[in-house]
Amino acid sequence: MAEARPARTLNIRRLVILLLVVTLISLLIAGVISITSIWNTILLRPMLNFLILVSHYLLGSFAIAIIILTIVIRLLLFPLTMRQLKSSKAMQLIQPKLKEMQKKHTKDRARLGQETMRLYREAGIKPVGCASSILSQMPIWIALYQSGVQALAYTPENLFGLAKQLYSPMVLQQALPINHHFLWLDLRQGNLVMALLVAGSVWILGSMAQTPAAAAQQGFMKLVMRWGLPLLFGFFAFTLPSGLSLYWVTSNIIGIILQYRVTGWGILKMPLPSMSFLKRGLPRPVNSPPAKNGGAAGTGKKGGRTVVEQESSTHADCSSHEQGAVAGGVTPQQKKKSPDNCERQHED
Amino acid sequence: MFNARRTSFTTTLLAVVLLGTLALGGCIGIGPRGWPATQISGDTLYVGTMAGRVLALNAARGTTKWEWPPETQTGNTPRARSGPGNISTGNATRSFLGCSGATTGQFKAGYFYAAPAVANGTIYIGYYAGMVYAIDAAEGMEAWRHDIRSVIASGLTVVDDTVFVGSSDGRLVALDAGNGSLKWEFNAENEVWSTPTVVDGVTYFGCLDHNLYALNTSDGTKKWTFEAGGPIVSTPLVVEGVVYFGSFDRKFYALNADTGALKWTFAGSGGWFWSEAAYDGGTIYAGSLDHNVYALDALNGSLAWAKPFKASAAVKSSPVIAGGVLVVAAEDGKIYGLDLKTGEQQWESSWIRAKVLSHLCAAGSTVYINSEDDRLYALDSESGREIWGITLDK
Repeated sequence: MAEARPARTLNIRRLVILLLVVTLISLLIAGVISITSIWNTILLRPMLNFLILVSHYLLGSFAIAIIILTIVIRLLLFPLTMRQLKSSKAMQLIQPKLKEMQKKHTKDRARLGQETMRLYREAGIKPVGCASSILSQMPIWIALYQSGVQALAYTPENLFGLAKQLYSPMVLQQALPINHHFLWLDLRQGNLVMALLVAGSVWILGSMAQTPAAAAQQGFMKLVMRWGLPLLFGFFAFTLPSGLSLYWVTSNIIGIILQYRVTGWGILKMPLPSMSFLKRGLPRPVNSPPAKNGGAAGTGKKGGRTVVEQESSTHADCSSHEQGAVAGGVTPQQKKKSPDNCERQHED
Repeated sequence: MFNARRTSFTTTLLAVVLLGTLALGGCIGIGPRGWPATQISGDTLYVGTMAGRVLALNAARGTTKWEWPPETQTGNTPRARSGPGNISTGNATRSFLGCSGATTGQFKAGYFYAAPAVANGTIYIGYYAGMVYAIDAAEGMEAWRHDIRSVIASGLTVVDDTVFVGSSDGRLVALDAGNGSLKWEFNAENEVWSTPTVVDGVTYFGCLDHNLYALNTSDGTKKWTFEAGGPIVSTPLVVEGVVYFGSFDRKFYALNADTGALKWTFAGSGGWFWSEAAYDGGTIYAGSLDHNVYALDALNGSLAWAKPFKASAAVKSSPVIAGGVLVVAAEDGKIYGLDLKTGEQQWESSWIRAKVLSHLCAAGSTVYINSEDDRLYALDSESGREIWGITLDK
């Protein structure tokens, strides 16, 4: 029986938010303001001017300004980050219960889902926290990218556009042009070393956030998500201005430190975890014996399909949530019962 | 119900979409477009197009005399190698995320940030990607080319037998106008986006390093420098021994052309000075990005009008004087005719539907205006009426 939900009350806070939203929509429709002007006023201009001002007082180094900005942003997002990390930690702690539940409801997938959600609620885990982490940083990435493009003046058009974004104080005008060199980097160009650092830090952070059970799974999607995201970030770090890479690397280093403080090294402390899928080899024929190291994924089945078919994500701060719903790892008993799980997982 | 696979997929998708957006932004936000302008010589207009071509047009009717490169060359011009969409970095050029900018048929477009220079029956143009071309003005055939191996975001100046061009690696380069060989080069501290001005054997140019440089034209040695409070991209105006220029520090300066000593400073603007000023009868006319046009007394920098003229948008284009009228273009495409003495608006034209960022070109009482939608207009300066308008890249 469903629990009775508390009645909604229209309190002052909601009323204010509602009024703000209505006002905003009215102004947008009336053409008084535009999405671009809101974006510029709230995010782009403050960030751009902050970067230029900080770089002016730090020997003209735009790179150090980016690093400082990253630290400031991470501080602002600290509560959200910690909530996610604690959620990840809780996810690791409930792994035994999830396994048990999975065994119990092997044949009833709907029930398994309900019970999983109940367990999440009890443990204070918010499964959508991962997406919110990405979403909360998206505007920052885009604004930082735009700030870099305009402040570093790739083209005369960028410099011309910068004139409209700078605040009044003369110090900002005098700070121009921005020095786009830092160590060996040209902040306006992509850089191979930065690309490797970005890819590596994304991989480390993703791996730390994984649960051992989730890491034990395999499959094409897992490969793509474990390795694909670092490679993707690496590729874009190589192609996009290295100022953005600097943000990613700094942010990831901070993320690694926080992750370590809360969840430890995760699967990184396991011997050669990244190569485990190679040791396990390719999917075996149906009649071949299971691998000794227990690498095969899949557990119980329902109607010929594996119940546990979730793939893990390698993105920073995210994978635990997703892998949590994987509902545990693989037991030797299960492997004995279904030696062809690996094959079926790939078929799925 | 929560679906972990879906969430996982969503996360990855979000990251991919974001990175894709950034990549797309790389194409949109970084790529140059240019603001080509027009130069007149006799009855012929020489105009750069947004696609990187050069056209010779009949000034009276706007009909095409010739175009460069000719259609037969469009597949294999050197511009396809080092031109359009390729950001030059030192000795190498590379495409940014494969962005190649606009294309015209088989031919990759180049970018101009100035009007072609015309001298000695030859047209000289500098492409953003670093290639300088000399083209025969009569027939539109290439005479020579020189790769200065750096971005060119300024105009070229030709005096006697020398072509002067600034580069984004901080050089002012002097080339032999006859064959394109290097005569000398001067290294400044930062990018040179200001078109040089050459008067009485001295080359004046501004630099993003805040300095205005004066060099001896014969050998490129430094005569003097003056440090302003911000970058200088405007073309210096030299009149009667005085150098006039504006800076990003929102100030307008007058210097002694011989010594570089400061004569006066005007600090009443709220925006950057980007364009070259105009001069007439002891008054300097300067457009600012704060939307204003200032008339300054050339002797002391005081305001010559009762109040500055307020345009509808930033004034990046250089104002010109045509038929006794000061013609000013605002960024949003509005054109104004102003009284030289009082600054009173005589007319306003708002039929240009695109941005105007290029310098204006005046001949008699006709003003030629390039707009960012790749059109060229001829405008009567006395009435503001359109004489003709054509699309440059069809």
